[in-house]
Amino acid sequence: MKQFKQLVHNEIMKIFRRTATKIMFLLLLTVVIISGLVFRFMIMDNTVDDAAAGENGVSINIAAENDELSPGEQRQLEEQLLLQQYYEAEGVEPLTAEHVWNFVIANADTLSFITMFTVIIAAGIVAGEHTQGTIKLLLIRPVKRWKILLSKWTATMLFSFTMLIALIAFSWIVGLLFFQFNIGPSRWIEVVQGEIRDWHAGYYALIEYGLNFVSVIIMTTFAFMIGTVFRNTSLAIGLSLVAMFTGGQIVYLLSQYDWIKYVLFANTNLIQYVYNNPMIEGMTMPFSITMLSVYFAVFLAIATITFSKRDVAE
Amino acid sequence: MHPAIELNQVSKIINKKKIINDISLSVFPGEVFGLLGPNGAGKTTTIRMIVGLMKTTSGSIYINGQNLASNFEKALSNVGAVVENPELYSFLSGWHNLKHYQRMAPGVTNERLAEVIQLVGLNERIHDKVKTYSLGMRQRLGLAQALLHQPKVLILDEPTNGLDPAGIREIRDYLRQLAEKENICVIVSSHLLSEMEKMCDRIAVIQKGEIIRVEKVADFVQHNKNEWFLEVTPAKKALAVARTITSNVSAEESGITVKLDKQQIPLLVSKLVAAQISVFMIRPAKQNTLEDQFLSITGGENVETV
Ligand SMILES: Nc1ncnc2c1ncn2[C@@H]1O[C@H](COP(=O)(O)OP(=O)(O)O)[C@@H](O)[C@H]1O
Ligand SMILES: [Mg+2]
Repeated sequence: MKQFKQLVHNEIMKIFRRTATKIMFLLLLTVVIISGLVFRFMIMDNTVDDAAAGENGVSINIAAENDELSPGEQRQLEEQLLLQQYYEAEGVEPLTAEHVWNFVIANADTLSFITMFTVIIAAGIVAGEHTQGTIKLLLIRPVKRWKILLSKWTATMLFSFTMLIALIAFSWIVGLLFFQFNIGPSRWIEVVQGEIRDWHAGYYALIEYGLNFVSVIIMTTFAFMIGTVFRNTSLAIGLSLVAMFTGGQIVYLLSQYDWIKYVLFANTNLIQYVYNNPMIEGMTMPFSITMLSVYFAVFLAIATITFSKRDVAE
Repeated sequence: MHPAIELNQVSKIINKKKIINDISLSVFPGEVFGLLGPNGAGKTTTIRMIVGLMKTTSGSIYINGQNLASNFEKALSNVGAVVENPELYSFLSGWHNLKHYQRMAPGVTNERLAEVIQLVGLNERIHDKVKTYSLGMRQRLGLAQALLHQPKVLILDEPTNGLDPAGIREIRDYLRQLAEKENICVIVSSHLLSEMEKMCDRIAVIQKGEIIRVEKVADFVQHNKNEWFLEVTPAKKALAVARTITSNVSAEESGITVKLDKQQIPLLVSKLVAAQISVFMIRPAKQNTLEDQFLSITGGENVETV
């Protein structure tokens, strides 16, 4: 165990002492700041207008009864009404647009940058040692190869987790600075399948980031496997990002087939279960978690086996 | 004495091609052992198998009595090596590179780390990034990482590559010292014969994946002792005369080379003189260096000479 810690320490050192890694953190901060600016000066202005319009509960009521509306619009209006009533009954305020938690929650999409950065690290952590030739001096140590590989995977995950913490911290700080330190009432209230759901905004953010992070882990492990097997960083980055950006689309297009639910990308979006609204009928959270675990285990097994058996000869 | 390294009928097949063919070797503590062969002979492949980068197709390797295949960690804890160029992490400092390898071997103290840095003379530049190092400095750092855990076996693949004559001399003296004073088994490979001659106690000549001979350097050089060059004209006639004494005769540009006991030289000279051949000079044949030996053994393929 002590040895494994030392190995992870080494890999962490090699990740964090690169200039590229420092640039990644700077980029992440930049993205959060830009997102803050956009939020502050564009989106927020709009939502404020919306809120003003919605204030008139009676108009919603009348509009809802108007049968000119499409069923979708009608449902939306009904949900708004439900929310309105809940706010009045409970005496709570909705989370305002300029609230820090609102910004943190809205910023969860920035997680795709973390996926991108972690994929880059994961793709290169083995392949890079091959291209630079450093793999030779690494593998002639009295350490079994699978331990070295596992330490590399662990370090990649720790990097990713550090980025996640950094993202949340950046969002909080930027949120505080841009939105006048508004940390007042913080409840996240939504209508889910016709029912009111009232969560603490922090709890909601945790769930949202946590579930999204699961897909970071799985995509990263995929990149790690490709990089290990083909010893080619660019290939691993390319494949993983293309898969990530098109996978969801393809699954959506083929969603009428039953077998599609066994495809990785049908299962990566766990947040869909929080809304009880899976893309494919009949899929459940436990099913997706099982599928993800299987994919995950297969990816790591393939990487470990090829890495352990390989003749290092470049 | 138990061998520090033992190879038993080791073969390696890559893509159906036999790269290494049935090599057996025993190398002992305290000796500097040379693997000598032209480029592509299989020196690096042999070393890669010994350090566990490649698996053997058949045969077994023992390091300090430990089977490499079944007892990888124990076997390799006795080995320090540089395989081909010392490729280190260029974005890290020399210091962080060594810290990295320190963490991978149990029991390497910080004192040992400092000692090794001192030993290879990198004190002043150890905190600079490796990408700013010269090739010579990288070689030194490579040596430092190989010595860090005080291995019983030190393996260096073409260690003098890219070093200037002073650097070569330094490393040569240092390796001899390691073998003699610390009883380490040192294995070096090279295609540079003159180097091996000065550095090694024993040499294995390897060609096309096979070991064609293993000998003490002293014996190696002795082989041609009784060869003599005679500057004579006409050489053709001299050749015929010499043949009456020995069959080991060959024609050279300005004379002949014969192989015979020193005592028989006067007889040969008198016969030559009797046959009206002019004899200008007699000296030991030049072909008594390891290099020439090596050229004649391997047929002179792909050999770079200094
Ligand atoms: N990974 C490999 N795949 C195929 N052939 C190889 C590989 N590595 C080495 N060889 C071949 O094996 C032979 C020996 O190579 P090597 O051990 O590097 O020789 P040396 O170190 O003596 O110059 C060469 O003919 C080389 O082409
Ligand atoms: Mg070689």
